[in-house]
Amino acid sequence: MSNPTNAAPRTNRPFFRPVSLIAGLATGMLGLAGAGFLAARTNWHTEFTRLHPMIAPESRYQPTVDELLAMIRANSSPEKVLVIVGGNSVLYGVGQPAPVMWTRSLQEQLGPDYSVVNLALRGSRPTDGGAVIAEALRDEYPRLIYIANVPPLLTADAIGGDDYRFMLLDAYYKGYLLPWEPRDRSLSNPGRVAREDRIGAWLDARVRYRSAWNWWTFHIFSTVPSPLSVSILQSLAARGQFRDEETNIEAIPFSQRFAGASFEADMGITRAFTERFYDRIGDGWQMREAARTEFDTFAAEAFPTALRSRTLIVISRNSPYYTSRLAPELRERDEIAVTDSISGWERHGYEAVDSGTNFDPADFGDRTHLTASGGRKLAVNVAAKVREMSARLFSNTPAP
Amino acid sequence: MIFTTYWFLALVGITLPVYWLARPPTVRLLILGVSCALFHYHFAGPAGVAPIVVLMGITYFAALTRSRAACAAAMVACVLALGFYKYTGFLLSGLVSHINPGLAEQLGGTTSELLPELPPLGISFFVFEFVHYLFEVRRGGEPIRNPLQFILFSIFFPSLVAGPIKRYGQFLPALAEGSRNVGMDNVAAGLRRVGIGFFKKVVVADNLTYFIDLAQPGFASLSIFERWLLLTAISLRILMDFSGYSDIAIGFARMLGVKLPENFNWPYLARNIQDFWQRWHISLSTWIRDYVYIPLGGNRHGVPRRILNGMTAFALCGLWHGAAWNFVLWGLYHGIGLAACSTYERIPGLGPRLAAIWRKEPLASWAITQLFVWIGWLLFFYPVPEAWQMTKMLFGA
Amino acid sequence: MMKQLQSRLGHSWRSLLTPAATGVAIVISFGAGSLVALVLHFLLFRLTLPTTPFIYVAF
Repeated sequence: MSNPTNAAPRTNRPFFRPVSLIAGLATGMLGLAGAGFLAARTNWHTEFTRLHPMIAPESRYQPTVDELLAMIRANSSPEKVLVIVGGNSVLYGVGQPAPVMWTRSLQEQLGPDYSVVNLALRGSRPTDGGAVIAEALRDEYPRLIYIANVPPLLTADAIGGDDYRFMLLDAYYKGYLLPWEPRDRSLSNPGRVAREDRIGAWLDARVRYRSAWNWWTFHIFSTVPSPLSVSILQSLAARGQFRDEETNIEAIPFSQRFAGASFEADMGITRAFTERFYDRIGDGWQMREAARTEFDTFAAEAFPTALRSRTLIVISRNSPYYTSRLAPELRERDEIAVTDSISGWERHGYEAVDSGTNFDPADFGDRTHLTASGGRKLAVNVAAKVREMSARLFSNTPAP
Repeated sequence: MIFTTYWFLALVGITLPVYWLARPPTVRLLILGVSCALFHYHFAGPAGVAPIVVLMGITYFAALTRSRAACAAAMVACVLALGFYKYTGFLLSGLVSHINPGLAEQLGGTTSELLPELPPLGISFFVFEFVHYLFEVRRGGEPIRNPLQFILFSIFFPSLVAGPIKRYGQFLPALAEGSRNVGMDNVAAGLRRVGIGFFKKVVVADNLTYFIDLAQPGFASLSIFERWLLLTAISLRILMDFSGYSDIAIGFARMLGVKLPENFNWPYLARNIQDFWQRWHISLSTWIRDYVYIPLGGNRHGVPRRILNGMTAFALCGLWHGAAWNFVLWGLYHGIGLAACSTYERIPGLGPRLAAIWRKEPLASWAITQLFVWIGWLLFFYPVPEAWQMTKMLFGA
Repeated sequence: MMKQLQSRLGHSWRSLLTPAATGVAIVISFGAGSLVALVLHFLLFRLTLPTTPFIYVAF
């Protein structure tokens, strides 16, 4: 940079000294980056239950991969089998208060040799959130099982949904992920991932601004108002003040749970649940070729090959309150879809399990979400599979 | 968006050091030219760039001829382009459809095929700067011969999207000075300004927007005090948002060594409407004064004509802000305010007494001015019936 | 007032205050630079979340 040739006379010198100001800027930036790196290594989720809405994107809080890793490191010993639960609101436990959420039951079922962490996010895909964290911890926790849920034969974007892709990009640019060609190709495709999101994640990996400001948001006050809060003060309150206050769906009398206008809508969804995957041929059902291709493509791209054997896909079902009202051939189609899903996932090297056929209508709060009693049944069904996987995968894996 | 994108920050993060390190002024201007072109192309896309390039060509060559007719024709072309891209829909739905619905529907079908989804980025600003340039050349000003200088005048990235509206007579010397003598003083002053601008935008204005959006739908259920608080938030938000933008534009230009004209000067301290318009969006109000109000005759032909000129200028000012009737009414509202401000003293009896009160009680003149301006924002942001209801509710109705 | 003071003192008033004023200016400038860093750092974070467009960009 050139010095001004016609520098202003000394008496007109501006009050602010340029060199000091720029030095202040540089020092400030370095200091804040340092604070970000420090925050990234700190666990502040000391009372973590699961990613409740006030520490999730619904309230404009985007947890970083680093803060979730720090939380897991603080709570789970690598000597245990780490069970990371991803998936959507069903596995999050919508309708189940924290003390009775299904992952607590799963922990009880599995016992002290296991450590269960619920990282499910409402409306997420199997490759979102928890999947990223599980992949990031693959070496640190060699005895790790990742669980996600998905309805039968349903596919999704292999790089997750828009709402939660920030976590995948976060891990990608911080170098936490395995090289995985289909995913890497999608992530670097401007048509798939906005350039803005990529530049932001790339920069954050170098400056850790999100860690610094998430720390601030959690401890001091929220710099960005939460749209979930009703009052101004509450919308700016530190997120650490908020507890997991999931409503108890069991408190709603059974007679009211499935009543009203939503019944017909949910009944329609239930009827069409597996419709687009099958053709009726004679008395039986045959999977459409397009559906098979779509499923195979998703299963082949969703997770790196090396992680599949420790990935358990739970095939979600609808409430028997609805399925019991289906015509027999539709119930048969749904059963075939569950079986085909399990064999499909297994064909690609994953583990898969039916969420269960032992549910009563009262185990559901609505078409998809389980009550605490339903959660306990799910935990029993899943725990059996987890124990089996653990015995097979880790019997020869020494604790680190 | 634009200033609040990583892409933009990356662009300035690369452009500025390269510009500073390249010492020959011509090289600096070339670097700046490339950066401005990248900026324009990235944010406007080919469909947004093409019409502007055509207008640039027309403006550049028309001015080079120094022919009054060519300059006038180019001005007409610029204004027609603005009208076509920004006001076609409004003219058809807000005007023609009331006179001849069939014709409006027919024209709507034809124009929707020609019009892009959004008007070309910054077209209002481009057109105002081009018209200013052609106007000045037409009345004897020196045209810009150097194509690079003209390109930089046209697409100088800090002011491309939302001003301040530049004057070429000030901008070109400032550009030359910047390319020769950008120094630490400029960089530090620019940084400070950018910091202030971003603070106003992302800390103050965006959070106010959130609260406004939360509270405004329930305006009727708020207490009187809360309604006034909301009006304050609305008024503060637009000031912080827009002056924040201007600060960022002025700050980044300053980091290139270029001084852009100021756009705001504490407008909420104004003590009359005339004073307000000398402090609010200064580059627009002076543009309207110089290229609409004065050419219409200004205040040279008596009071009625002056009022008419003022009303016309302000109606256009309102329309410039958006293609909708509430903007036109907002402009007229300020036109009436300005007319009242400049003539009330002539009302026998009441006028001089009022003037004496304002002189004696500056706080009262400030309060009445700001009340007028702030209530005007309701008209600016909300449909006319809603704004009227909200105004009545402010006073307890 | 500054000029009056200057003429009464017979030299630049700034020269009298120079060491202290310079120190203050340096400290405040450094602080201002740090504040700018804070704003820019916050901006980087804020851009990861949904933002509101500038009101005037539409015009």
